[in-house]
Amino acid sequence: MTARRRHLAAGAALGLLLFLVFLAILLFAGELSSSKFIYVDF
Amino acid sequence: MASDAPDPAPEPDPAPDRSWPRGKPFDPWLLLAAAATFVVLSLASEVASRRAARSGFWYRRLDFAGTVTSLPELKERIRWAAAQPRPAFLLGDSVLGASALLEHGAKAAAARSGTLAAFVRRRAARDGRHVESLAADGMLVADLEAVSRLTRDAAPEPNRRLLLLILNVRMFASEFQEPEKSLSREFLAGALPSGAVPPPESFLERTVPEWAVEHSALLRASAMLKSLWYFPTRRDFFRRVAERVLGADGDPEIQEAALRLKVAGYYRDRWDLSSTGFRSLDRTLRDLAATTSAVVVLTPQNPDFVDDPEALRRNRATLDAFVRSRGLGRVRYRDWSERFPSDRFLDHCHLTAAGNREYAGELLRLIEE
Repeated sequence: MTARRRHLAAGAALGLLLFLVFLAILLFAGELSSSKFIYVDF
Repeated sequence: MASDAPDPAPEPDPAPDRSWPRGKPFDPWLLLAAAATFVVLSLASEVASRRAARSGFWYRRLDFAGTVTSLPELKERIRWAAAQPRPAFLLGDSVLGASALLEHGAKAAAARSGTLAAFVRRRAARDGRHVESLAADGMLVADLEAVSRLTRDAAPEPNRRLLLLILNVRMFASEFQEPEKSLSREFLAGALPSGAVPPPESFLERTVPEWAVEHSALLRASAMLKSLWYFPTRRDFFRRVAERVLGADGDPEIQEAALRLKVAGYYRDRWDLSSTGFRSLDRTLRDLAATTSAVVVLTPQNPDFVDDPEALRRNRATLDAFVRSRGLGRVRYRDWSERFPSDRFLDHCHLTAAGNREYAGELLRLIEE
């Protein structure tokens, strides 16, 4: 395997990792649907 | 011995080491490959999310009852549900959802399957009717008006839709009648006629996420999926986890006393016909009477929590007269506030799973009458 191919493979792996981090942020962090007022009585 | 030799000339700085990692030559192809992979995967997820939303993939497989995350997501859900056989929409507040069951110790799966919405949906499915719950915790009358208008606009044939509007006594309480507090979710203001509620202030922290979810199906899908574990909110999820580890916070008797104190006003306040809630109800009823088969129900209340039965009786009579004076057309109204005994309730208005089953049966009988 040439050095360039190795770097391309490493880059693809890095891109995949970044995408998984992005997905994790979307699914587990942030409040995209933030509601200012939710009145709940339990 | 001192030396007379002149100081040697300073050596020039060595050329910066541009290799990365140390000792290996840096290859920009690595960064390019990383960026390309990230962009391709993001675009592929966006395309997949769009197709999933359009085909109802999420709505068929997962239960999103009890939460609404954004206006575009709500429109998408309504559009999909309106295309189902004999569509009916459930509108209301936490009475239809799982939060109260969860709060009273039910496991998540049992809570979700024991809701009023779940019982209505399952039983209606046996008769070939699709029921979609658009209810969410804390909804008020203006929220219901917004959602009702969305169902009218999204359904290709408004005459085909059936609406079940579950009103709650708390929705008319004086604390929710100030125009600024009459809507539980600011994004729903976009579905109301102009002037119905004060327009939300335009902050970047609100407008940027709204713009993002409007244009990205991936963001809409992730917000919906997030609501499955962070239910009904992220804070509630972490509180439940903390309680499981550290034990319940506080004495249940004190908590019930605090709740009684909090809701006592709901049953004492005199309802004001000129309030934001009644104005919203007026527009909703007029709109429904003209276009839609609808059933409006004042949901059962726990008699043990009604501090002032006379005040509630007066308010119920006011609501009854208000609804009937609007010319009901195809709208049926039922006051079921005294329908169930106190042993069917978890608190002032949320029913046990057994109570929900019974309530669902009666609602379905009413629909099919």
